[in-house]
Amino acid sequence: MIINKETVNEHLVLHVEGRLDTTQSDGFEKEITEILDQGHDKVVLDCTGLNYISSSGLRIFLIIQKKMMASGGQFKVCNLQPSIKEIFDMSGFSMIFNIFPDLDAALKA
Amino acid sequence: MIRKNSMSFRIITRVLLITISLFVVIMVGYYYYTSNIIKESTRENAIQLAGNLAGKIEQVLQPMEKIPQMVASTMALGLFDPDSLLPVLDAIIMNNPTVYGSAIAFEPDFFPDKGTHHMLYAHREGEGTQSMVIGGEDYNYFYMDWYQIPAMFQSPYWSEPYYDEGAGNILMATYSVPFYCRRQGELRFAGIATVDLELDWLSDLVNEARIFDTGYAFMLSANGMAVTHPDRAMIMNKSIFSNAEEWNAPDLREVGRDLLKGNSRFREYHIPGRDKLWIFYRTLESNQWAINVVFPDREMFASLHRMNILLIVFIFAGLVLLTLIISGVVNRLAAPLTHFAESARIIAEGNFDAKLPEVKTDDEMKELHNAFSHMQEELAEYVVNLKEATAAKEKIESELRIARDIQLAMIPHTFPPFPDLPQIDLYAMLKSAKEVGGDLYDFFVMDKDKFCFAIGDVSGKGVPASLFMAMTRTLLRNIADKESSPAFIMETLNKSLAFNNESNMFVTFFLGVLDLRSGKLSYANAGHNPPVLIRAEDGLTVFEPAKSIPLGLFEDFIYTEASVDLKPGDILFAYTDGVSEAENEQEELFNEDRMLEVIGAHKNSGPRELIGFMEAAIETHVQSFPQSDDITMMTIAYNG
Amino acid sequence: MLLFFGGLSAGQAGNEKLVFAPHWLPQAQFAGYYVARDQGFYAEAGLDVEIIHPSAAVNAIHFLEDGRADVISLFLVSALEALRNGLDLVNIAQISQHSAIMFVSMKDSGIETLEDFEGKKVGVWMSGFREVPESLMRSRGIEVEWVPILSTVNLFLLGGLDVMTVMWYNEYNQLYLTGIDRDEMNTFFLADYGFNIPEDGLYVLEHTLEERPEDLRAFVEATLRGWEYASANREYAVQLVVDLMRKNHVSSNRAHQRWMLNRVLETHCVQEKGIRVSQLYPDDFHHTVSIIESTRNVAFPVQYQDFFKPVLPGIRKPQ
Repeated sequence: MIINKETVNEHLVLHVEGRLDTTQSDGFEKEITEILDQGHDKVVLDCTGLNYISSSGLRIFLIIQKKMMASGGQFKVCNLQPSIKEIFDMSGFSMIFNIFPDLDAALKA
Repeated sequence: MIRKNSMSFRIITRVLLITISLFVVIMVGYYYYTSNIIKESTRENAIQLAGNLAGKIEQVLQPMEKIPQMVASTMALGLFDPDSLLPVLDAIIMNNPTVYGSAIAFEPDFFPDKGTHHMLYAHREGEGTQSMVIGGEDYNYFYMDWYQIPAMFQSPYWSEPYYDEGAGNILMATYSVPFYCRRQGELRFAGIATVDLELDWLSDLVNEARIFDTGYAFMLSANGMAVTHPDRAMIMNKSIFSNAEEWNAPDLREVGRDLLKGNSRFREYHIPGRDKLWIFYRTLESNQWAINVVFPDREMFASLHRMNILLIVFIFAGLVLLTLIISGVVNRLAAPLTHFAESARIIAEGNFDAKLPEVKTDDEMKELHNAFSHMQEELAEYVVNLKEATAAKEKIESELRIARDIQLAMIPHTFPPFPDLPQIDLYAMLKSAKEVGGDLYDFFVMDKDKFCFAIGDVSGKGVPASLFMAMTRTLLRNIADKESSPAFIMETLNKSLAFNNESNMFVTFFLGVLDLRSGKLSYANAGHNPPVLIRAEDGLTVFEPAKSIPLGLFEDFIYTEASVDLKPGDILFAYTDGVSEAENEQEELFNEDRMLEVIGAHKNSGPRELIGFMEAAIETHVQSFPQSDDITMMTIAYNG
Repeated sequence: MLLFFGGLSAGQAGNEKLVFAPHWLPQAQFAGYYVARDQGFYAEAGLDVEIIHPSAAVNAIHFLEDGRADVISLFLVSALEALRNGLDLVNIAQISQHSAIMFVSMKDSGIETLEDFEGKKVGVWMSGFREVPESLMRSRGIEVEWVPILSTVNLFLLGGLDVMTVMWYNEYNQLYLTGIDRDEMNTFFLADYGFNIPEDGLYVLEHTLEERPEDLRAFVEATLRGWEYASANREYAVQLVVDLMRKNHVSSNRAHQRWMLNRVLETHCVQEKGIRVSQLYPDDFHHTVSIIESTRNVAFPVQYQDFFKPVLPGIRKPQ
C-alpha cells in the first residue's frame, strides 16, 4: 500500500495504490490517522491505483468519513475502479461517501 | 597417527618443507664453503710438500752441479796432460756416493796426436772405480745429447734420465758443463765435463711422500717422461702424454703441456673411468724436472663427505624429532577443538549443559571456550524464552479454539434443522479463515408460519470480528423475538450496534422473513452481497443491490425492506464475499460470474449438494493458497 | 700349448737355425718378426729364428758383415750404400713400399715451405736417413745446415734446430708425446716432393742366398704371415712389442707403439690399396740409385736384377 500526498486547491489529495485487504488495513489505518490528525479541511482520496478493497478497508474509509464529519471537513473519493465501485454500490457505501468520477470533479465540488 | 587432512599434518608438512629447504640451502652453502677450504688447505699442503721435496732434491743436485763446474774451472786454468785427469775423475766418484761416472770429453781433434775422439771416463766398479780413455767411430760422442746439446748452447745441460745398461740398469741423468782451455793465449771451447748421477734415491725420496691413502707424488723429466713413480713400470717408459693418450684423457695432456712450460698450478683432472683427481705441479730450479703431487678427490673430501653424511643423519633425526614435537604440541593445542566439536554436537542435540573442554591457556582457545560458553548460556536463555512464548502462544491458541467452539455453537449447525417443517429444506456452512471469524448466519422459526434467516459479514476478521458477530447474533435473536418486520429488525439491530461503536466496526447483513404459507419473502439488505434466487421455472435471479448501508455505522439510519414471492422449488443462495472473492496464488478472484456458473450448472441440486459443488469449485480455484476471508454459504429451498 | 711355446724357444731340434737382425732396437717397426716368432710361424716353416738387435753404436750391417746375422732389415738407401761400399748383399724382399721420412718444423718458427729451410739448421740422423733428404734439398737448390743427430729429438725440442728430420711412424709421434700438439707442427713428407723411396727391406749376403734359398723363402713367407697376423691383431702385437722392449730395457709405451704399428703397416701397402707385395719395383730401385749417385757424385753401375733377388714370386706393381 502506497500513499502519495499532494496539496491541490486547498485540498489534501491522497493517492492510494495497491490492495487494501485485511493484512494491509492496519498499517493504512495508522498512516491515514496520522495524516488526518494534522488537521485538514478538505481531503480527497484518489483511488486510481486501488485494486482491491476488503471489508476491513471499507471500515477505514468509514473512519475517515466519520472523522472528517466530526471536524466539519470534507472527504471526497474519486477515480474508483469499476470493481471497487461495485463493492461500494453493493454495500450501500455509495450513499455515505461523496464519490466523484475523477480528481477535477472532486476538486471543483 | 596423523591424518592427511588434520591440522597437525598441514602444520608439519609446511614446517618440514621450510626446514628442509633451509637445511638444503645451508648444506649447499656449507658444502661449497668447506670444500673450498679443503681445496685451499690441500693446495697449501701440496705446495709445502712439493717444496720440501724440491728442497731435498736440490740439496743433492746442486752440489753435483758443482763437480763438472769445478772441473771446467780447473781446465780453464791451464792445459794439463789430459790423461793425468783420470785420477781426478776417480776421486770425484769415490767422494760422491751418488755419482756413478764422470767424463771429460774433448772437442774433435783437440789433441791431434790422440785422434778425432778423445774422452776420459771413470765409473764405479764394485767397491772401486774403473777409468779409461775412450772414443772412436763406435762411440761417436759428439752427437750424443750430453755432448751435442751443451756444446751447441754453450751452457750446462741436464740430460733426460736414462737407464744405463753398463751400470746394471740404474736410472741415471748426466749433468754436462762446457769447459774452455787456453790455446795460443785465448780461451776457447774445449769440450764437455760431466757427472753421471744415480737417481735411485730420487724414487725413494719422492715415493716417501704419503698423501691420504692412495695419493702419491711423482716426477717428470723435461720431456714429460716419468722419472719417479710409485708404479715402477712407468719410469722411463711412459710420459704424461703417452698416458693421456692411452687413457684418452685430454685433461692430463693439458696438465703436461702446462707443467712443461714451467708453470705451477693446483688443478683437477679427469681420467675417463676413474675418480676425479687433483694435482699440484712445480718444476725444479736445476733441471726443469717437474714434481707432481696427486690427490684423489674422493679422499680429499672424504672427511667432508663423512661430515655430510653425519649432518644428514642428524638433520634427519632432528626432523623426525621436530615432527614428533610439532605433532605433540599441535595435537595438545588442538585437542580441545575435537572436544569443542563434540560439545557442539551435544549442544545441537539440545543438551545445553554439555561439558566444555577445560582450557588452561589464556589464548585463542580460551576465547573460543568463552565464546562457546556464552553461546551455551544464550542458547539456554533463548530456549527458555522460546518455551515461554510457545506456551503463551499455545494458551492463546487453546483459548481461540474454545472461542471458536463457542462461536460455532452460537450458529445452528444441525442439518436438516427442521425435520418437521416440510416447506423448507436448508443447508449452511461457515468456514473461518482464522480460528474465529466475523461471518455469521442464523435461521429460526419466528412463529408457526414465519421463518427468519440472516447472513452477515462483520468487517475485519479474528477475535474483534467474532465478538461483533456474537453481539449481532445475540441482538438479532432478541429483536426477532418481538418483531417480524425485516426493516424494523434491521433498524433496531443497527441502533444497538451503532451505539457507542467506537471501533467503527460494521456488519453487512441480509435478513429475510419467509411466510411459509404464502411463500412471500420479506427482506432487508444492509450492504450485503445480494443473494441469488434460483427459480425452478425461470432460472437465476440475483437480488437487487442493497439500498442500505451496513449495520453499526449510523444509529439513526433508516432501513427499507422489500419482498418477493417464492414458488415451490425455488432455491435461495446466500453467501458472503468470502465466496466471490476467494483468491488463488495469482490473486485472481473466484468472482460472482464463476459462482453463478456453478449455481447454473447445479441448479437442480439440493441445498446441501449445491454448497458441496460450490466448495469444490472454490477449492479448485484456490488450490493450496491460504484462505484469506471467512466463507459462508446458505441455501434455502422452498418446497411450498 | 707346449707346441705353441716350443716355437719360441731357440734351438729346437730339427729346425734350421737362422739369425735375423732388424736395423734398430726393438719397436713396433719390426712387429711382424716378433709376431711370426711368437706365433710359431717360423717354427712351422722349419726354422729356428733368433732375433738380435743392433744399438745406436752398432749397425745391423756389421752383424751381416761379421756373420752374426744371416738376414738383416735395412733401409733401401742404406743397403745400396753398403753395396757401393763393397758388401755383396742382395735384397730378398722389400717390405716397405713407401717413404715415412719427413721434416717437421714448429709452426711458430714461421717455416712453412721447403724454401723456408734455406740457411736453417736441419737435424738428420747420421746413417741411412741422410741421403734422401739431402737429395731432395739439392734437387731444389736449397742450402741448409745439416746437423747430425744420433738418436733423440731433444736438440730439436730445446730449440737447437729449426727443422728436424723424423719418421712418420716414430719421432713425429714422439714429439707429440712430449706435449707438442699436432697442429703446432708443420710437416713436410718427402713422398709429397717426389721422393717416395721405399724403406725397410730384407737383405742377405749373396752367398747365403745361394746356400740357403729354401730357408730364406720360408723365412720371408713366415715373416709376411707374421705381419698379416700383426695387422689383424694389433693390440696383441703392440703388447708383444712393448713386452720385448721392456725386456731389452728400451723405453716403451703402448701409445707410441700402437701409433708406430699402425703407421708402419700403412707403409707396407702399395698405394693404400692394402696389398702387401714384398717386391722392390724397378722404378723405386732406379730412383734410389740415382739419389745415391747424385749424393755421392759418383757413377753407381748396379743392375736391378743383381740387387733384387726375390725369394718369393713377385706380382706386378698395382697401378
